[in-house]
Amino acid sequence: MNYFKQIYYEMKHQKMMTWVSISGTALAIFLVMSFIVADQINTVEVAPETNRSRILLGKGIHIKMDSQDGSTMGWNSDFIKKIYEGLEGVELISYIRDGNSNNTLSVPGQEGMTFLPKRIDANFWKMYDFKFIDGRPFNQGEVDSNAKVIVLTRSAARKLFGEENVTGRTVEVNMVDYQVVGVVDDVHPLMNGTFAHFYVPFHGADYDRNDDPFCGGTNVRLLLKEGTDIASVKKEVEQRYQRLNGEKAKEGIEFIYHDQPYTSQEEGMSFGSNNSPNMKTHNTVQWVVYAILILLPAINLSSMTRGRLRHRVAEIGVRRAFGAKRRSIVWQLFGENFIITIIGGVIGLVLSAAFIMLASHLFFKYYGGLEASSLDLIYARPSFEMMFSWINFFICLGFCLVLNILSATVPAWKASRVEPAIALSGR
Amino acid sequence: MAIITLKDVNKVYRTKEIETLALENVNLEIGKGEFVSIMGPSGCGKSTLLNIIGLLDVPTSGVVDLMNEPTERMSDSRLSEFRNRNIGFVFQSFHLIPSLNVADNVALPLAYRNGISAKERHEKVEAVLTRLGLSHRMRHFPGQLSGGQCQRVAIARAIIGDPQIVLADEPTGNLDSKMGQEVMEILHQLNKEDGRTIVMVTHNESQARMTDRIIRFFDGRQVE
Amino acid sequence: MKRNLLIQMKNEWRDNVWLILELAIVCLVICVTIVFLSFQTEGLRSPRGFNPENVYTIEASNIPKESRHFIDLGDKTSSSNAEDFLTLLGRLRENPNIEAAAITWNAVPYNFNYSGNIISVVDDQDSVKYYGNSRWASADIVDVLEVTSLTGATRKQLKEMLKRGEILITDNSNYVREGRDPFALKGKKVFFGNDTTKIYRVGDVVQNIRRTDFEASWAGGFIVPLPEDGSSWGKIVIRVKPGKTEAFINDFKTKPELRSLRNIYLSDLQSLMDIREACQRGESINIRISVGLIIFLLTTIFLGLLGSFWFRMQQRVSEIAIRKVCGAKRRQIFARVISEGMILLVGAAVICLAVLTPLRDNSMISVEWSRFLVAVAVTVVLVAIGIVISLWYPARKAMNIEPAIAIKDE
Repeated sequence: MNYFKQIYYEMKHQKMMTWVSISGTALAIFLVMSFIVADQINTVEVAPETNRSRILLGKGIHIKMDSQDGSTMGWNSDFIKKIYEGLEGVELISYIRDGNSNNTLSVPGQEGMTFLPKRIDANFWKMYDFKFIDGRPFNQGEVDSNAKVIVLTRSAARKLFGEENVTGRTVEVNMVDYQVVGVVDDVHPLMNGTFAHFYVPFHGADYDRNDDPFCGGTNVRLLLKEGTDIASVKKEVEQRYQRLNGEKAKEGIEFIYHDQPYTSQEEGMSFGSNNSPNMKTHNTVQWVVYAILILLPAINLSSMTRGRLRHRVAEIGVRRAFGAKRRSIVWQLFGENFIITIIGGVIGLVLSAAFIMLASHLFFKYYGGLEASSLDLIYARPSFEMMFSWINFFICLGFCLVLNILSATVPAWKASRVEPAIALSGR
Repeated sequence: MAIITLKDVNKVYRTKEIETLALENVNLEIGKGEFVSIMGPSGCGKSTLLNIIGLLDVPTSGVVDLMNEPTERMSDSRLSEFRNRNIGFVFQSFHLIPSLNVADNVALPLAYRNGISAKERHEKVEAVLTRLGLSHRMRHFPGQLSGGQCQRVAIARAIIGDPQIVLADEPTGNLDSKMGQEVMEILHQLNKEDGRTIVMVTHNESQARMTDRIIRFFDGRQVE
Repeated sequence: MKRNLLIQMKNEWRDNVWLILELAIVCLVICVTIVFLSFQTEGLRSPRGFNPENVYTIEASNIPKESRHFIDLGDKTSSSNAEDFLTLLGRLRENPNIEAAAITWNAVPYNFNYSGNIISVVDDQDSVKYYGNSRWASADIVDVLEVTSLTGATRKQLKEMLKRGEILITDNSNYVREGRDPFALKGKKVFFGNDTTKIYRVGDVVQNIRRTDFEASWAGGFIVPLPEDGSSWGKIVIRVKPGKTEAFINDFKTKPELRSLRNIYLSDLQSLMDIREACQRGESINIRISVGLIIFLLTTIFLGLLGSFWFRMQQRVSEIAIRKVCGAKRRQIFARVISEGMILLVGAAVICLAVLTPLRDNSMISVEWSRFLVAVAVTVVLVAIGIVISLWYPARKAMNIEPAIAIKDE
């Protein structure tokens, strides 16, 4: 208890030191945690994407034909099966169209409104954890028969009909009548695997190109069985690419494997259909950023600690005279510093949470795709639910500890080596 | 029986340019329960001697035995423990920790001793402060006390661990004569009532004369 | 006096080394960030080639057969569609709030499509070809995007050229670098790629229409006319009269005759400014992050210097008091503290230069001397301002020390 009382006293009586140390720590932790939380948004598991770590995306296709380069965001609906159907360790496979542009929805007697669709098959509903407020998902029979059925989100239903229980009603999608079969809870725009305003059956063949057996509009999502190694799935896909390239070499066609299928983290990074995600660079950059964000404040805090200890040399001498061992001096100073660091850390953490929720969209590009056709996506900020995790507390604590070790170890160790006779003489 | 024994103690301070002989061939025996004062002009090595006796400093050569234990082989950790158990310090400028209140300052030596419960510690603090007439000041901070009160707190701190030896470096040097008198009375009390050995550095001839023995120093040498 | 200052600083060398190191890292990162920013914003400083304000895009679509709104016209369906599309376009043009409307394909900026092509002059064997991004549009695009001629032609003249089937080309820095003059192509007969069946005349040279505000124009571009004869239709792009945005949006929402005709309907009205926002998000974020980084670094040195010098001043109370007793003026005391900070900055700047100069021109990046030196200068000024602000409070504290009280304390 004395310990805390003394720290409180020291903080009160060295106001400038306290102010500088706490704000320095808060600044460092604020920035580091903001970066970390922002980076996590691409992998955080929040309904409906509760299985995110097990879901992979087969995105674009990149073909070289007679050394001519071509790439597009989607596959031919039959051809894609050659690569992704029947992979080892896959529990569920869902064919979808990943990138969609806005559609106009309208109900009779009202002007149309623009909404973002997601075109999906029936497995998609099983793969994700949607909360149905009303009605049901559409089934594979309806998908195969290209039935005009639609699942609306809560907010789309409200905007169109003014209420949520609208199963059985009719809505026009680009002038064609669709029947509402269900209403789901809204999906957060940063859940980029599932976000949309409404969901309609995906009929891949409609997007195939007449003269192109490879490209089209189909993408795929794979739900891996629990415990499946992502690398092994990628390996198998790569082998299929190689086999395919062996077959097509005569025709001068080469398919380029870009580390597909992608994890949600890779998906969240910005790159086109003819680039591979570069996790290594991403991670290196990340660590350099953290290092700068931690090291510079650590230098400051370290000089604060040294300055503070200079005023307490006599105290250390007295403590040594009355029997304090060097170790206990080191621990005491270290602990004192840690408490200040923790106070700054908590402030930093709270600031970073506020920042992420209020303004992070100005500084982080969450949406991985090149174009975000809905302003919902551009202005999307993480919800509290998405960034709150106990792991973050421990990461924050870990960074505080690192900061503390960097800033206090040397001064505390030095202080403990001071000869008590010299410390007491005031020289 | 000697409780403090110094044999052929030399202390040399070396810097790049000069070598200063702070203590030269000091031989000293102080018996258990003795009240000894050390006198001499500024810079004659009195404080160095006290630091060496207090194990805060090591002699360049020579032997220091405290309570019949040789100290030159003791590790830093063992020295700390030894100081904690057997030596109490009183300084001219009090050296109270400004950020701790009176009770916590007094309790300091106990903080570095194992197996003392908070209750026990509290009782001891209260007992020693009552004895020194400061029990009403327990929650005050050093900055709120007068010089004499500060020195009494420092004495309380020096004796709370019940050490055999109390080393006082000009304990009245920063006090006016009335307060100084008070402090001297307390030191005599500690010597007479508790049988503690007290070694005091002082400039004050009359205070020195009231002690059992005066050791005079000049230029690092014991002259008397 | 200055010599004394250096000696005094030497006594605190350990602290000073850390401060210089910190300042050096800060200078380094700020300097690199400024160079990065200067490259990033290079595009912003050169003309964009168009004016995105008050521009809107509209999607034109067919009503599909399965819709109950579909009107079956038998064989005439497709010809009527073309006709109806042109009628709708005409109605837009007639709307009093609209200045101009054009049909486009890949002509609207703020999208990352790059439809690269080369042109060759008929009967010319020059191996250096003019390369650029193709933008197809009907003549009114000139008014919608406010395309600017580089030869002094009016917009009306540019429109005439497009209507005559001539193409407009843009300036082209790559082509110039190869020693050719894009203006020499004016009036020449050219063809695209290997397609010699279609010969175009180059009507004029216009300002390059860049893809984004940030991207520097590295190659050229073409505006290829789309005839408004029903043979081609796609995205409609319009320029709304200044201040008439709301009126137009209201018209578009409330007047069905503006949105649909038989089997054609217009939808998805989007502001080019919004499209720009989405498209330039990456760059805007980079700039914000860079500026944020600079602010973070300056804050860091602010805290570091403020803290260190605060302690220093506490330690030097008696020294400063004695200086005052000996006649030092308040202003001199203040100046002395600030100069101490500036000496640290000189040390940091030297380290920064020593590290960056060899990196200025390497295999990965080449920074011109002028850009480099400006970046260094801006950095030094920024950090110097930071230092003065940080030292203000400690220096004032030193300045206000009362000698009598300070010396008595000792």
